[in-house]
Amino acid sequence: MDFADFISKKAIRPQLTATDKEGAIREMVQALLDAGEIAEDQFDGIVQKVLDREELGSTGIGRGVAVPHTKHPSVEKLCGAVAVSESGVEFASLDGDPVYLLFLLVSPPDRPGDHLRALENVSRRLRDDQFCRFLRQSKTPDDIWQLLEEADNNQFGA
Amino acid sequence: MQFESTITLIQGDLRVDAKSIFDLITLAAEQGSELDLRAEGPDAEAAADAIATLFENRFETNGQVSPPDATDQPPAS
Repeated sequence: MDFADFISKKAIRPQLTATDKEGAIREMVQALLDAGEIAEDQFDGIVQKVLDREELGSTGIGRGVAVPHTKHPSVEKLCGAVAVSESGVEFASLDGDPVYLLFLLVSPPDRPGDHLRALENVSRRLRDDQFCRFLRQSKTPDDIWQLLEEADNNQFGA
Repeated sequence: MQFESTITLIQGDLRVDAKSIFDLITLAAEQGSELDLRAEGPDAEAAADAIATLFENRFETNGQVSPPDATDQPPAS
């Protein structure tokens, strides 16, 4: 699965303002709402489910990366948002460090395979230091989208 | 790191470092997948036992790991 298959081009936020976990998740779910990927009356429910998932164990998986995610019956297909934080977000990460790159995934409960393949893609691409560095330096949604496309075309290692 | 040994999880042709969460996720192993565990080093046996226990205890999520058909519980991943 490629980034272009699940990241919504309209849900890219190069300058995340929140510096705490809940604020960051709210901003990213809002990005999905603004992009028309989720319904307005589902906003609070989705935020809560993403936060519930974090309670099981932080999705801040180290290397300054977080992949908050949930399954939610209101979405018909997998959708995702990307955010970059310049100052870092306190995310209770596995390595204790703040996160700078966030990928939010919301998927239908009956498609666990797609959900896992999207997580697999994010994780595989973010093992590449150069890709991480370029993402963190990105200032516009277009810059980020271009990087994701380059990753999809295997222009980075891994 | 808690264990000195090299710990590898294997699914088909994929072999990943079990100490790396990034590696583990790239297995994209669905619930019910069959994985092989290999530990090599001075504390290999203790490491393998600890990992087996972790699986048996459902990763200490108190049984909140959702079955594949659940619609209203947090996902296991």
